[in-house]
Amino acid sequence: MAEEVSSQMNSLSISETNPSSSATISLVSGDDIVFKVEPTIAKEMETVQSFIDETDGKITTIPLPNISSHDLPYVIEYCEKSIAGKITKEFEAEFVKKLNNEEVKELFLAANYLNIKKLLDFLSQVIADRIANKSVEYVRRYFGIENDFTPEEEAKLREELAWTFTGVDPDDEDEN
Amino acid sequence: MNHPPSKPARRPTNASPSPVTFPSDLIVEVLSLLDVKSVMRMRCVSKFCNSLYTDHIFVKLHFNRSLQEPHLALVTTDYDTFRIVPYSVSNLLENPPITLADDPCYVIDNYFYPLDLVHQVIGSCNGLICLLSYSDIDSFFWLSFWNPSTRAMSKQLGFNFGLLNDPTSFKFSFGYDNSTNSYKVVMLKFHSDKLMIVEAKVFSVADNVWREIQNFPAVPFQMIEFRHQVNNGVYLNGTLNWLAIFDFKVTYVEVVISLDLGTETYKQIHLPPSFDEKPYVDPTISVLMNYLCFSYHFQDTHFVIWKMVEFGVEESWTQFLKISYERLHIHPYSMGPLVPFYLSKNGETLILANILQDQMILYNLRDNRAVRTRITNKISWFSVKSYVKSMASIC
Repeated sequence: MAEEVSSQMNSLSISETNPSSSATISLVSGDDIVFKVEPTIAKEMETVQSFIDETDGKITTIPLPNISSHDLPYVIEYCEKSIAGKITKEFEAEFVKKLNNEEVKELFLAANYLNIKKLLDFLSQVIADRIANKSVEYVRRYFGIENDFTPEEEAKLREELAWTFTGVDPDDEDEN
Repeated sequence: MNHPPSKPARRPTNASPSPVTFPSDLIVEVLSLLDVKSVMRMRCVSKFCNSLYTDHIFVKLHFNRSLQEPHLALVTTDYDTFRIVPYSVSNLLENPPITLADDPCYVIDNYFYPLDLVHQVIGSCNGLICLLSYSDIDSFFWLSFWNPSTRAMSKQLGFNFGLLNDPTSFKFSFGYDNSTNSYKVVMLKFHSDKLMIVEAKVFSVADNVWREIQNFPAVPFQMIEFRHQVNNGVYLNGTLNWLAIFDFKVTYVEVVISLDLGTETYKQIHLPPSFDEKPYVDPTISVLMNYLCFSYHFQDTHFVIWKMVEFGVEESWTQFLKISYERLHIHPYSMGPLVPFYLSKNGETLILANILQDQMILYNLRDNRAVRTRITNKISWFSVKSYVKSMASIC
């Protein structure tokens, strides 16, 4: 996994030396890694594009403090495919195959922050598919949701909904 | 819908070590994509997740995003038990031999008390099944609404005492008023001594009262032919539709009377032009693939279905099926009305029922082959309603 990411980062750092890079946009991840991308990629990211538009295109270096250098290459890859019109079911299946549930979650939050509708919709479905058969406890941990029921309230609700607890996958801590 | 995650998220928690807290709008996005059973289980996650169950916006969002796989609510009455068992249409189309599981969760009533209580399925809409329960001895009735997917049963609503002295003189229909987002039940009351006067009342779940509306402008078919329960008013996009006879005494014209549940006004729709003879077997209306359909018996040899391509536009009636009785393996004189129930999404299989036979017929349009379903339980096929899974509820 780590190797894959670093190889992607290498390929991106090569593009930094591209002489025609005057028009490129620099995206700075939360851990201060710079990713140079074509303006067409930035267009896919509504948050980035509106930042560029607000400054009349004068500012081309955009800090993205909420997004790590681990996630940004995935986002860029998805946007590149999207521009090329090459988002297929096969690509999407392959794209998330290598991501564990925590990574999907972070990418989902990144897509939300950058406001990339297509990626957000796709990852919503991926998460829905992955948590559909998970336990209540798993979902609380996954979304960071506090259990605000009293023990009595929760017990009563669980009793009423006992039929929905069949076929639930056992929690697998390794997945995190 | 999309806000940056820097927006104040839900309160952080000590119990959960997860460093990331999800904005609630994203949780809603994900939960709206789950199947009904999973959403129901997730109600136990937190008060917020539990509140989505009664949030109309979420229920609608979930419904629109769901696969909307068709199901049938099969009504069985064995001995003293009234049950409604959900069954998936795709499974039915494969036609395996079936004996429905004796699951207590689908038992609507055991008839312990009162002994003369009768239940009827009135209709289905947005995944909810409307039930009428009445006692003709004690002359009362009430309505209840059951969602087979969430297993939630409403309380008894629209209770009425004294009105229902003769249950055969009342017909109920169920639908949804899109303009006020309210479920409505329409009751037509027929007077045996005044054939032309059909009173109409509407029960709106939103205000929980029965209200009189303008009299029904014709005589519904089902009032003349009592066994003809199938025309209990079919629901389509905010309207209820009945096959009726206009000008009963003189010209006897068969029409569709359509009631707009928003404006509560009637509209008359003429039947296809080539339908001009009074057939031996009563015609019926139904909804197939979201089209209003009209079917009848043609010259004792064929079963014909027309569909109204554009609802309310009489010129858009189009004949789309003509099946010979020979192909259906039924003798036209030995049967009651044939009712089309469902047309599969690929348009390949039509599900029909015959009033005099206790089986459903699966008719394959590609190879013109008809087979009978192989369900061993005794099903009241004319009470069967198709529905899609939803979170809809009436509390």
